[in-house]
Amino acid sequence: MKIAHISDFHLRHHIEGDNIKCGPDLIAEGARHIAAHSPDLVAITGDLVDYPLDALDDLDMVALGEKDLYLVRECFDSLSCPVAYVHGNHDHPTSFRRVFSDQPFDFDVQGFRVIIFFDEEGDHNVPQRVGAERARFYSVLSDDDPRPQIHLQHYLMVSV
Amino acid sequence: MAELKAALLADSRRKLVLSGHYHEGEDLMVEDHISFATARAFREPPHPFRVYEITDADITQAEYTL
Repeated sequence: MKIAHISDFHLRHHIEGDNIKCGPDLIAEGARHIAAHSPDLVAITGDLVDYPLDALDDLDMVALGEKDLYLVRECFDSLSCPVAYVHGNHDHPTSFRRVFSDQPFDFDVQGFRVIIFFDEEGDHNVPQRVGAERARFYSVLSDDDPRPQIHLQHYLMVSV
Repeated sequence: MAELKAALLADSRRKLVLSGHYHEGEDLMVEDHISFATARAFREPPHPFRVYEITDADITQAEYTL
């Protein structure tokens, strides 16, 4: 089982910015490098775009951010293995769900159970797993599925 | 999240937990039957990504850059 892991693009292409370090060409090049390793799974663990957090309700900005999410997706759509996307604190959660609406959150890759979790940032920027995500987490730990598990999430399990 | 980690450790199945967010990343570390790894941010030069190989015996990590 071979997993390629790439994270935190913070892409701004349609969304403008003055600190752009990672454009779609660079992400596409990364996807090509990953493809050369012939992974069985690609894990992309959040912050795909660098959505301005003070514009979460700005519909024009949401549309631009969604275009950037589609750009990321296009970079990896040609890979022959499953690609698992997690949203981060710099992604717009509603746009993310629209762009990746066909993505399963619990699936099998070569006998491994791959599970994607979506966490939130609570008070004082402390990450938390709440509501349905928390219930899902405890459910997968308490069922009798014998497969080894691969958990994909944006935040670290413990702070560094 | 510390509570969730304790729950992970309490379940005996083998697991790998992959995360991002922390741009400096953390290398693969193993605690009991759980492996944790945090990717360095691809945004930052030299634009890294990782490949993990999982066998019945262990997990290895290799990092590549563009």
